[in-house]
Amino acid sequence: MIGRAEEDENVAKRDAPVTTRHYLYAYAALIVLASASLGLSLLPVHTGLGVALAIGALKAFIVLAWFMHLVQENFGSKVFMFLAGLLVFTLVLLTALDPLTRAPYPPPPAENTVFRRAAH
Amino acid sequence: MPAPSPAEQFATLERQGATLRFGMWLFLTSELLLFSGFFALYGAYRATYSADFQAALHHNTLAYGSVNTYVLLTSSFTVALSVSAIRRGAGKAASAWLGLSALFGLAFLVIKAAEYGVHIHEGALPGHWYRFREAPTLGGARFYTLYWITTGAHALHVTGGIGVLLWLAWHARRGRYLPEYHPTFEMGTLYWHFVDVMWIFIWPIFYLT
Repeated sequence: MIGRAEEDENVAKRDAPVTTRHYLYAYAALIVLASASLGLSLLPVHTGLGVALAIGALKAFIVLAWFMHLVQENFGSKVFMFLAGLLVFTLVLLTALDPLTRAPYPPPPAENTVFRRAAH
Repeated sequence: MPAPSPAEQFATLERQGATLRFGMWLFLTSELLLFSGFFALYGAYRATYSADFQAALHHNTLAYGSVNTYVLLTSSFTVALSVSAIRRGAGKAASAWLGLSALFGLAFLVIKAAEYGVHIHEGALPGHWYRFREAPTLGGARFYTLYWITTGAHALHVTGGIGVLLWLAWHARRGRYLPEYHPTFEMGTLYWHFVDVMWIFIWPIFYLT
């Protein structure tokens, strides 16, 4: 439950909406970033998935903050969305870390003398 | 149209609107869980079949995916402009912006269908139907199975989103949303932006690098 003061603050934020100019800047930034991602992927030098995902995260932040008006929402909503993103990142990271940190499997038993003896 | 009044459990319209929006954010985070499952699987398989994934990705249809990225980003912009219009009390302008956004969504699906056609022709199909000669590996098969599941789920969301946009456009044209109170309108547009955010991450992992 939020108090009267916090509610007044939220209403004041909603009364100062994101303007069309903000939308235009956000859109321009998204196009520039998307083109940067595409350009980097076409370069002969391999930049890696991390860079592409970092640019993607920046684009997602722009959409969330201005197109979805998260900048105008109350503090609780912002924290909630940040935690949701953090948990998804943790889930993906931990799942990928499992195969990355496994010890390599032993080689197949082609040179195993026991099998050779059995074949002869 | 009569001035709206808050439901009895809310002291003010502002509080009611904030609660509705918060509910929508909750719904979107539950949707995020669905896609995070796909992303987690992708991370695990990419770590396991790193070279195969690179080869399969190299043969994916970059042009289709990239054009679709620009189409979706532009649709998000026009949806944002519709919110700006509804806040000014220009319901017909908002309806026009949403109609244009729905057209962008339709264009996305048409391009996606063409892309799927290419994959079907090449044999880059999911599961045991996989027969893509350019990447004839187990990792390649895993890559395209994940590709079909993830982009398919996303395309279904785009289809649902187009329906939402058209529904909002219809009601905006009839003057149902007031400049000072339009949470339903904002909730619908939030859904479309969410679909865009998911594509922002699908594009690099399946098409770029």
